[in-house]
This record gives sequence, C-alpha cells and structure tokens, in this order.
Amino acid sequence: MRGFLYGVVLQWKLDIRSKSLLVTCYVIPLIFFLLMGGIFTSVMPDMRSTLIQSMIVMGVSMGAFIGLPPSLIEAYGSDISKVYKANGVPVCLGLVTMFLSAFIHLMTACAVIVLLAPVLFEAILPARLPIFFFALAIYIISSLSIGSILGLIIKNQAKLSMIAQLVFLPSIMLSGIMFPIDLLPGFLEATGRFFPASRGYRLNKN
Amino acid sequence: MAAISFLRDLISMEAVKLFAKWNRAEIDRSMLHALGIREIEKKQYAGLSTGQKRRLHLALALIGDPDIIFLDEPTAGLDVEGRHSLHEQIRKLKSQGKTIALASHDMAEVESLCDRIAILNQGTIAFCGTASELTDRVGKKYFIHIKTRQGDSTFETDNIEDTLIRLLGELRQKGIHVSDIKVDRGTLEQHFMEMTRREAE
Repeated sequence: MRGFLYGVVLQWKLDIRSKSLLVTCYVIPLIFFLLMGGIFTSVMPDMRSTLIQSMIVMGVSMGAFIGLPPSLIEAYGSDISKVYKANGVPVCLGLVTMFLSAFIHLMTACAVIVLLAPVLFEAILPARLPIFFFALAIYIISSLSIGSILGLIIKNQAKLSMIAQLVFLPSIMLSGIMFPIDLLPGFLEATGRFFPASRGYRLNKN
Repeated sequence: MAAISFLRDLISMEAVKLFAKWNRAEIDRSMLHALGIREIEKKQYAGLSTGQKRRLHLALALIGDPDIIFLDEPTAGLDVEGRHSLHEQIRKLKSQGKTIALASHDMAEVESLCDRIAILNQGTIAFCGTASELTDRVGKKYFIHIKTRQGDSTFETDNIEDTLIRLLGELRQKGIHVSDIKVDRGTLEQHFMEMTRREAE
C-alpha cells in the first residue's frame, strides 16, 4: 500500500515536471474556454446554459485522448516495464497511477471551468452540482479508458498522434458542443453516439 | 539491463524510494554510496550519463537484497573509469555471497570477474566450467610474446622450455636485442576462438 501511495504522489510530481500533460489538461482547455466562452456567449447568448458542459467536454477529450496516451507509450512502449517487472514493482503501476493522476488533473481543470464560467460569462451553473460532478467523473473515467487503450495498443508516438486526432476531432465535432447534434445527417448523429463526448455532454446537461 | 530506459523526468532518489517501498526494503545508504548514487540523487534520469544510468539500475536491482543477480552487458557503452568502477561493485557483491549471472561479449571482463564460465555457440552451451578447465580442454598451449626493436612476435608451443631456449638462441645468433618477454597460457578470448573453431570443424 505504501508503495502504491508513493507511486501515485510520484506520478503527480512527474505530471507537473512533464509539461505536456499540463498543457493538454490545463493550458489548452482553459485557453479554449476563455476564448470560445466569450465568442459563444456573444454570438449565441443561449449558450450560457450549456457553456460549462461544452467546455468540459472539450477539456476532458483533450486530456484523455491527447494528454494521457503519450505518457503510456513512454512507459509501456519501451523497456521501462521490464525494469519494473525485474525489480518487483507491478507492471500495471504505471497505468493505474497515470490514470488516477490524469483523473485528478481533469477534475481540477473542470472545477476551474465551473467556478469561472458564471463569473466571466454569466454561464448557468448546473442545478445539482453533486450529481453533475458524479456524472462528470463517469464521463472522465470512460474517456480516460479509451485514452488508456490507445496508449497501450499503439507503440509508436507518430502513429499515436495521428490516431489520437482521428478520435479527438470527430469526438468533439459530433458531440453537440459546437452545434446541436440533431442538425447533423442521421448517420453522423449515429456515429457521434459512439464517442463518450456526446454521451458525456448529454449526461452533464441533464 | 542491456537497454537502458526509464522515465525521463524521474529523479534518481525517487526511483530508489519507489522500488524500496514496493519491495518493503530499507534503503541501504552504504550501498548507494558505494555505487555513487549520492552524487546523482537529485538528478533527473534524462540528465544522467550512460555510466550513471547503469549504476542507478544496479542500485535498483540490489534494493530488494536479491540472492541472485542477472547482469546483461552491464559495462556496454561505459568508459574505462565507469567499467572499472562497476567491476569493483560486482566484486564486492561476489564477496557478499551473491550469485551473479553475467552475460557479456567482453572476454577480458568475463575472465576478470567470473568464477565459472559458460560459452554459448549457436544457441547451445559449448562449454561450462572454470577458466582453467577451459584451458585444459582447449590444449596445454603456451604463448611466448617477445618484444624486440624490430617489433612484437608471438609463438605458440606445448613445450615452453625447449621453445624458449631455441628462440633466444636464434635471436642471439642474429644479434637481435630482446627488450621484453612474456609467457602465458593464452587469453579467454583465444580459447573461445579456438573452441568455436573446433566446433565448426
């Protein structure tokens, strides 16, 4: 247990040292939030009711599909896992600690958005915050699970960048955060439902 | 590990603590000091030299106080000093009663460190025993190395007395001055080459 707890704390420190995860979990989503929050609410004032959910979907998708997988490739696509195994450390430690750490980072970034959106853009807070955060946790876990699968299956960083974009962009475009999903043709609407972003958006809205 | 790899941003001492906690072992500060880990304890893994990385990996392997240690080309890529330092550590581990299985292509290293040797040829064990057993098996050959102003020469012989007397007599007749002379049973590398040559035949 001590080893596991130390591993989680250590992963937290590694995430802070590795700027890439900070960029994908905090910097880019928050910059997107600050820019697009202003644009969305000026062009379409009604977006205030769904601004928080939209920005959260963007942030979680970026962190889960673009942020987490490269860290997993660094650990499991090289001999690092052999070093763990040879020295009595469970090989799954890297996956579990990275997953937990990314979960905490994404929850933190989402909490910042929930706090700032009403102040900066007069966004409407979800009615039942505890249930909202519970739904958010489910959405983050499902997105991180897909990100973990990508990071464990694909052993090459270049291929991962390509495939991660193939998952991230349709996920965002077909989720309903940019425009109502029922405006899309039927097959695109059906395709969008496969991604956790559209389900997460609806879950957090309701 | 022949291939050195670890998390780039991990600090050396953090790696030691992580492995110590998982193995429920106390950190042996004297072992870390002997391996020179104290000098690099605050450095990130990406900033370590090849030799420092190898010492760190050896320290991580020793944290659980294992009875058997497997080393795969531990000195590959190290400079002379690094190799010498690692050899000293390996000898210390031997003196502590650890069993060490060392895989190496460096015959001089094997000859210097190992009590027993296994030679692999095309996937099979061609020999397993001590260095002197290998010498006896390959043949009781002696190598006479003579250094003169004209250059160095090496002569193989089974009869060291007669050959040495004959050679020195010939050199005296020719008026060639001998500056150095050395006699040995051949290096492990020479025995290895001889053994694999015989196996091929």
